Amino acid sequence: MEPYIGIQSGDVEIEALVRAAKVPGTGAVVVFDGVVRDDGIDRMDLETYESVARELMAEIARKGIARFNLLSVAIVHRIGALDVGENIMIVVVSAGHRKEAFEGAVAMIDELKANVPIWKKEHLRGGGTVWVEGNAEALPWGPGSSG
Amino acid sequence: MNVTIRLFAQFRERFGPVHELALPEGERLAEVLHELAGQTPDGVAALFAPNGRLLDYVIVMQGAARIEHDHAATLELRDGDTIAVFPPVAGG
Repeated sequence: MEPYIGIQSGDVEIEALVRAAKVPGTGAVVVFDGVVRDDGIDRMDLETYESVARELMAEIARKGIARFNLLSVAIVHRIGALDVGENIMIVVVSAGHRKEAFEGAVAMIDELKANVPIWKKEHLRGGGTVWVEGNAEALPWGPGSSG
Repeated sequence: MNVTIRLFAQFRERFGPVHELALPEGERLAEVLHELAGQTPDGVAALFAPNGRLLDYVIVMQGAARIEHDHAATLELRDGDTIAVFPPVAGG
């Protein structure tokens, strides 16, 4: 089953994603809901290199399906201005059994956070802004894949 | 030839989001980025080390392929190229 990939400013209809995940053979659905944490901030702005982000999210999902024998994967990442407590990224995974569903979800989330070209700018409660630092080592397009 | 440079996050704020450039054939990637950076105060130091090499945290892509920094000095741009320049990612 082809993964569902979304990049959007509006909120995510998680219940609809869960319903869609319950394909024949499903025994477990795992939902990850990443939210804006109150680290002394009012809100954050998210931006993306959308064409590359979509391509990479789909690739991560397809790899997850193959590696963990998943039945369906939906990944939705929000962009734009988000307040504390709002959803940032939703991942919904279904599998025949919970072990594959949990392990597949964790592996894909780790890869999404490390690799997809999305950036966060935090608006501090006391004033000022700061870009969240990323990890330069984790990108998938390493020196060996230079084109 | 026409080349598009797209910048994101801190680099978008410093240099602007998009630059559509009309360049002579054979222009090399690092030269073009150096010239673009030089149009902004302290811009060169934001992308390049004093030895002229791109800084480690500067990620450059040609289309969907990441470009090795050592390769950027010799890589000739092609008509229609889209080059993206951004810092390490922090989504999720």
